[in-house]
Amino acid sequence: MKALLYKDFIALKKVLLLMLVILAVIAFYFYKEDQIYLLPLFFILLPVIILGMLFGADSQDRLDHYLVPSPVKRSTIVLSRYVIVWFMSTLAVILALMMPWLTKGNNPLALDWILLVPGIFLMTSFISAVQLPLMYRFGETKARLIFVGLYFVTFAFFSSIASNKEWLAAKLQAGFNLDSRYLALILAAAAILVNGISYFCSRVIYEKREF
Amino acid sequence: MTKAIELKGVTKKLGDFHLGPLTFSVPTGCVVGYIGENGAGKSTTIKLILGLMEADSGQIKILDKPLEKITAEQKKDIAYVFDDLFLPGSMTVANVQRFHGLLYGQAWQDHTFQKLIQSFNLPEKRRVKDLSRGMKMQLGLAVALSHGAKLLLLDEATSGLDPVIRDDVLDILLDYLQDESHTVFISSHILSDLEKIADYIAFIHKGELLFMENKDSLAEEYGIASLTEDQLQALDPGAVVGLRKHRFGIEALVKRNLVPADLSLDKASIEDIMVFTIKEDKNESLAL
Amino acid sequence: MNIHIKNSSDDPIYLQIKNQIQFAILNGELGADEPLPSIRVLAKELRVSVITTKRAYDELEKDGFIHSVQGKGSFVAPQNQELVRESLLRKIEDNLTAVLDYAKILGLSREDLMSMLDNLEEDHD
Repeated sequence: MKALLYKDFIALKKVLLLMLVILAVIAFYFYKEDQIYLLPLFFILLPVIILGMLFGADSQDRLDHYLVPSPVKRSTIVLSRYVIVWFMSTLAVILALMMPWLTKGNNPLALDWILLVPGIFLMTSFISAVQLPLMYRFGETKARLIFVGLYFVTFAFFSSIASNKEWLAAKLQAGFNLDSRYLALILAAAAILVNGISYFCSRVIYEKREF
Repeated sequence: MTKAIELKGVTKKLGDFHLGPLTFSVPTGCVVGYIGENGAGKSTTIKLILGLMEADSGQIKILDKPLEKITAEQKKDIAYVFDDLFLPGSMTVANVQRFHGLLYGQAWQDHTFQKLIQSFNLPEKRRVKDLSRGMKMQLGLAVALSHGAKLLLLDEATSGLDPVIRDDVLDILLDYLQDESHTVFISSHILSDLEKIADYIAFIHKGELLFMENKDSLAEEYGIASLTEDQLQALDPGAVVGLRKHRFGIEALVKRNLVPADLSLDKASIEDIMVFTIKEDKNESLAL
Repeated sequence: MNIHIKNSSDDPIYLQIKNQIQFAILNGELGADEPLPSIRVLAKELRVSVITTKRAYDELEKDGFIHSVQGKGSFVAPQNQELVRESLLRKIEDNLTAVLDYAKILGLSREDLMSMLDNLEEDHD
């Protein structure tokens, strides 16, 4: 596992640094505009971009061909990808928890930590969890196409939400009326379930893959 | 004698290509040259041995253990070098060392790796993408020999390298073989220099193993004869393995024990045996 | 001891190795109980396969020129010079008898055989 993450880090060192710089610039800009509360939402797409690049680099190097006969288990190779996603999600959660100290009072997303932790985790790992089994099943290029499709669906989803503000507000109201502990439990269960099922699928697909 | 690799009735279907059934074994402490044309099934065999593909039927044993039961820990005993180094181009030679140190844990020998890198003159700070083909192969070999593996598989690793590098590789392999428990399996379509150190030659053609024999007995078994048409007609048809007819005569690869003792024969190289056999097969299919 | 492998030679490589070691033993270059290089070292130095050097050693052992000790390697067997000489003489006698038999069949004279021997001697070495 350590070896795999080390390899990923070396392969993407430059890109990761660039991303960090971009993120810092965005964070600074948002901070100035008093919209820093949006920052954790960037982590919805960030893991997907990083995964895309990692898969792209690996398939170009034919790295799987090299790793599978090595002493690392196939399941570990798959898990290493999830570790990256989960690491990014954890980062997003930490950022979200830090928001009360960063925002100057303007924070529409201010929620109880009990909701924030599972909520942000689910949001930031969801797309990757859908994408990873597709990557393993269809390869990096095809999965990217499918992802573009998913991207539009997500977009359409959000814009439909935007046009149904009243409906959403009502739902949220209902959600908030619910005991936040129940809601947190539901979110946490969803996050674990989505990631668990995704890892299980990826693993089954990868165990059977031939090179 | 224990066996480093053992295949029993192994088959694999890939599209319209059928491999096998393959049955052969590689004794421990030997060098086996696995030869055949491009597309004959060499790489598929190696992929099956390394678990990159799963056989449709049959049994594979590596170092006396069924392939499916080999644990991650036992995989440290198996080293492999492919025709390219499948590592990120941005890794430096030093990164490659660190990566494999993490990958192989206790089994990794920094000291051996350093020694090999120095003997190959590979600069530590050079990135993988900036290495020449020969250097990549040397780096791959250095990695393969630095985790105490008992079995070394080379898949077309030395093809297309310049003679000086091939010569270095030969020396390194001979050093590796000083330990009796070490085995080398080399697949290649060019055997000119590997021919020297191989104990056995396994010849695969169109997915089928034509023979696996002690190299020295191959030389004793086959010969090249220059013939006239009449002489050819007089020979036992079973004696002729392959023919090359030209305007001024006929060259034939023959089995020494089936031709008259007074027929003068030249030594047949492994490549002669390979070329004549493959060409004969093509002639036959043309005749049909 | 020098060993030269000739690829152009009609003799198989194992036989070339065997003959040259045998020669070195017979002319005293290799003394009794002197250790021989291991089959793997010899293979490495000559760049031939291990199976080839092993066969050469096996044949030498079979003919009583060397003996192998498990785990220690191969050593030159003590040669009883008289015995070696006798056995070689016997080999010459046997072969000469065969020559005489063949000559009788073809009706060759003693002179024919002598000139044949002269010719062969010129070609040899």
